[in-house]
Formats: sequence, structure tokens, C-alpha cells
Amino acid sequence: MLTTLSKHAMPMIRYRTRDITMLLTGRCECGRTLRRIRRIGRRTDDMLIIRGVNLYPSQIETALLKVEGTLPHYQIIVDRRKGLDTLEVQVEVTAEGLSDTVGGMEQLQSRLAHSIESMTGLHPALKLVAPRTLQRSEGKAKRVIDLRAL
Amino acid sequence: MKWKQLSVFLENKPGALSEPCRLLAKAGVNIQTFSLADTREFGILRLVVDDSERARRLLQRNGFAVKVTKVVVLETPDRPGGLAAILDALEGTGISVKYAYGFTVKPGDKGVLVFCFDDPDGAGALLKKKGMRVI
Repeated sequence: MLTTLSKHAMPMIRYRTRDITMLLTGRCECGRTLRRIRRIGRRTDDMLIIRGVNLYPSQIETALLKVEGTLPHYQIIVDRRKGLDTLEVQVEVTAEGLSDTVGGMEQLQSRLAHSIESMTGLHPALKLVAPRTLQRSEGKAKRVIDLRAL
Repeated sequence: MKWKQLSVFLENKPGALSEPCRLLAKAGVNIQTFSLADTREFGILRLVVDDSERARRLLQRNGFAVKVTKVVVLETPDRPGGLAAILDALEGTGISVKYAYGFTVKPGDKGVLVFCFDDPDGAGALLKKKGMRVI
């Protein structure tokens, strides 16, 4: 929540940005000693609750990055089947990640799934898709598709 | 001779195979042989073409994930035991076949086999020494 503390001739305005950050005390590298806010990485409304587990898309990103070295295009699809939340992560295959054997591709698939599981505690259905098949959007990428009727 | 195989990632859905083939056709690249490995969700198309470098660039430019693998290509007589003779030559060398595919050029005459070995250079040299027709 951002708000003005001094309101001499100004209307008081509060902004609920839902950004998650931290106050940093101490001296900045540039020499300033004022309080700063940390770089904003995620927002409270990014958060998904899947089977009672809090999940931020940024966690999936970190998990994929760990395996592939670079961040592939991905999409998170959340659905609810028979009363149970399902998490599917679709990842575009890159030339670097490609193997000439089915075994190699299945290994990549399970390494990605394990990385996500150890990062989030949720076991995803991991689907490899062809390059450039996931939707690209102008500006901010749409990474999450939530099909649950909540 | 060093042959290069291109592996292309495909999704397992109708039409997925025709797109790369059409691209190659339009560019005048000839597919000499191919094999298709499939799973429920995706497939890997393995191609041996007359101009692998051009085909790779073309496919990559059109958004395909492509990997180049060294393979060994052998000619063998088209008769019982043709394949067994090649495998016999490798017996006890520790060289492992990852996968292979082949076709008959002219029935009754000869067959051409494409092998992917864990050690393509070693396998190629060895097979040549044992009198196999490595092409």
C-alpha cells in the first residue's frame, strides 16, 4: 500500500498496487542512506492457490531456469478435475534442449517436472511443445491460464 | 564419410509431419531416408537429407527445434543375415547402437542402413576395417 504521509493541500490517496517487496535499510552503493524498496519481483494477485499450496509463477520460472540454463517459453495451465486442482506446465522445446532420442526427451521432461516439484511442492504434468506454439503477447506475457471456475 | 542426421521435434498431432517436409520440398532439399520416433505427446523426426546444413538452417528459420547428430551409413547386401553381419562385427567392442533404421534401395540388391552409435567415429572406422561398406 502506498500512501501520502503529509497531506497539506493534497487529497489523501492510497494505492493498493499488490506488489510484493521489502524495505531496505542501510547505505546504498551509490552512497544514499535513505530507506529504499527492493526490486519488485511479484505481486499478491500473481499468486495461485493449487491444492492449498501457494504458488507464484516466478517459482516455476526459477525451476525451469535451473534445468535449462536459459528461460524457455512456458505456460501454466490450472484446471480442476473431479474436485481436484491440476497443474500443467507447457514448455517449448529449444534446439539446446532437444535430444535425438525419445529417452533423452523423456529425461528432459522428468528433470523439468522434478525441478518444479522440489521448488513448489506440487507435482506438475509437464508437456513439451514445439517452439513458437505458445501464445506470445505484446508487453507483459500471459503465463497463467486458470480454467477453474472459482 | 560423415553423415549428419537432423532431429526435429514435432508435436503428436495431425499435420505435424507434413509441415517440415513441405518446407524441404519447396527448397529442393531431398530426403534420403527418415525415421519417426513417437510417444503419446510428441515425436522426433530423424532425417538424412542431401544438404543437411541448408535443411537445418531452413527448419530453424521456420521455428523448428533441430539437432544435428553424426550417424554412420552402411550398405549391406539385401539378403538374410545382412544386418546380422554388421552387428557381429561390433560384437564385444563395447560400441552401442542407440537406434537405427534402413531401407532397401533395390529389392534383392542392397539395403542402406543408418546407425546412431554412442561412438560414431570409432564405430565407422571399425566397421570399415572389418570390410563393411561404410558410405
